Amino acid sequence: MSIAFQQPGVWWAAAVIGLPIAIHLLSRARRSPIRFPTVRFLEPTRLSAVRRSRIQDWPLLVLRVAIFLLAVAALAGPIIVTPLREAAWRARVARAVVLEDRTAAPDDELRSAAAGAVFARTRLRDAVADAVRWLEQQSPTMRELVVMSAFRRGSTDAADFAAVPAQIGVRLIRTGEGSAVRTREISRLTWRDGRPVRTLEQLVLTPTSTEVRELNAEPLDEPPIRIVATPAEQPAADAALRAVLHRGLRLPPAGLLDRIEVDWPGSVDRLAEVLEARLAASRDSWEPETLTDDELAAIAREPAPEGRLVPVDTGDRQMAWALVVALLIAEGFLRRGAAWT
Amino acid sequence: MSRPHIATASELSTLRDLEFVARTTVEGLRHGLHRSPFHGYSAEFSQYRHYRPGDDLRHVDWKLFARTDRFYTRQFRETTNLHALFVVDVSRSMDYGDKFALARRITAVLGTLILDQGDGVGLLAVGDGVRYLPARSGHRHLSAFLRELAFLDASGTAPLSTALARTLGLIKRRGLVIVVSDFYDADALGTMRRLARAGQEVVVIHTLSDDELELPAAGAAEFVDAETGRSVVVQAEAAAAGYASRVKSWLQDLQTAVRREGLDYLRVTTGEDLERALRRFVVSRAEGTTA
Repeated sequence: MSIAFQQPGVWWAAAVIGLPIAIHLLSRARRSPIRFPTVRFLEPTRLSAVRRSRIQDWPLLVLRVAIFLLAVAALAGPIIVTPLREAAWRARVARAVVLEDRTAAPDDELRSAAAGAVFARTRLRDAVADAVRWLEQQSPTMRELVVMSAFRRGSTDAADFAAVPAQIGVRLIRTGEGSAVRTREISRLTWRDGRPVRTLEQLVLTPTSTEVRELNAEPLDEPPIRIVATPAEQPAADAALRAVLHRGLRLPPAGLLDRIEVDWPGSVDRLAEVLEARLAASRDSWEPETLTDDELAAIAREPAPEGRLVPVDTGDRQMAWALVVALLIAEGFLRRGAAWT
Repeated sequence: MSRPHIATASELSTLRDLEFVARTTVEGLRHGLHRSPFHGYSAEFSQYRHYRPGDDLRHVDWKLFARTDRFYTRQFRETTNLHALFVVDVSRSMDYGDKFALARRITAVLGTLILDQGDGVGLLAVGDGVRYLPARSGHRHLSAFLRELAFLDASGTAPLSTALARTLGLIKRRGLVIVVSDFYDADALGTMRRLARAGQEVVVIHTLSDDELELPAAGAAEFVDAETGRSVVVQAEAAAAGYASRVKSWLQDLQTAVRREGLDYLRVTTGEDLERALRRFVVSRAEGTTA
């Protein structure tokens, strides 16, 4: 069994304050007693303090020293370290839970994970930073950051977790899809009125309906796609492109900004397949909207045990103060008994 | 009883001081003093005093008894055969400030005075051992007397009553016993009473330091009893009034008790003018007004 202190600096402070007091008292104690013919006419004054001049009341001195030490110890925050307590501290985990939306109803997993402080900010990465700061101030053995979010791209990414200290565990729990209403913008290239047009449509998905709205239609002088063919096949290739555009060609959300060239495959259907394949590659790079499970797994890690065990006060400070009060009462009784000698 | 002793520098200094003080003070005392202050039993009638048990019945004045129905003892002026024994308290309580020096000076002055008038003086001090100088007369005895006195130091553990009790065995003839002490020994009065009843005339010289009348310290102080080693811690300002009152009461009680026994009493403190105090005392004795 041992004793640890939460604020060990208090001992230094006590020494700094106590040393001059001790010197003062000791210098007072150096006053030598007066040898007198007789003390039969002297009655002791009720002044126990001056009995310091010669240490006669060893029990009283010991008691007072104990009171002083206990009071300083109480200020320093004593924690009695026993094997049983050590085991309990080692099993303890400080947990910070980050919620993407404070108003969202916690599900069962949240309830089980929420045995710690809850952080919620408008921006998820701000809440993560708050939680990490809080965890760094915690003293238990293990610390864990639990993030409950849909993990939409843009709201957070691996960089936000790179600054989390290595010994803090990270657990990522995906909760739903974020907002119940989802919108997506779709850009298309079509052929209208004898010329190519680039349109922008908004797809609004709600739990009960799907709505498509055309937001913009931009006529183009020429299609941003060039079919490379022999001069003999060029007219057929251009006609095939117009045919494909009549059916409509899906573009990346931002539209097709750079002109692309495709070799003439020989038929309209083949050309449609080639163009779909070519544009789908860039379009897929925008999917999915949320971080994938693999990405989340790469961020997550188990909490690591701390190198040193930091004890937790479970009422030892109050116990020390109670002891100080009890000893003060005992000292009062002892002093009353010693005052008249 | 005296033991071989080599005088130290301080003892020799004390001796010279005693000789000087004794001589100068005695000269001063003699001025205007026409009669010896110390009476013995001799043919020349001096005065009457109340009869005390132990008085020689031959000196009771029966004619006066017939007239007054009271016993009176006749006292006679000593001429040559007065022997005075000084019993000096050398207990540790005397070793405070100038108190013991004062006791020595008083002894030296009165001893010189008695020797000068042709009587004999002796000295007894019982500390850890016994120092006894039998009473003799003559000027050559004065230096032995003063030397013995100078060698005394107040470091004894025996109480005054031990010395007084020893006096009873040492003195074979009626005489004068002069006790110089602070009288903190409560048994001393009883032994002096026995001496008086044995026919000795007892003179009580009470020497005190001024500090013993008024508490000397200020603030918190620890006093240690010189004889018992007991210590008492007091706040001097708070304890001073009670201390002075108790000392005053004790002095009054002691003086009353001493006078009730028919003994002469003189109190001298270190702050007093010694010559003036002794002059008042010897004059009053010479005029027979002290007892």
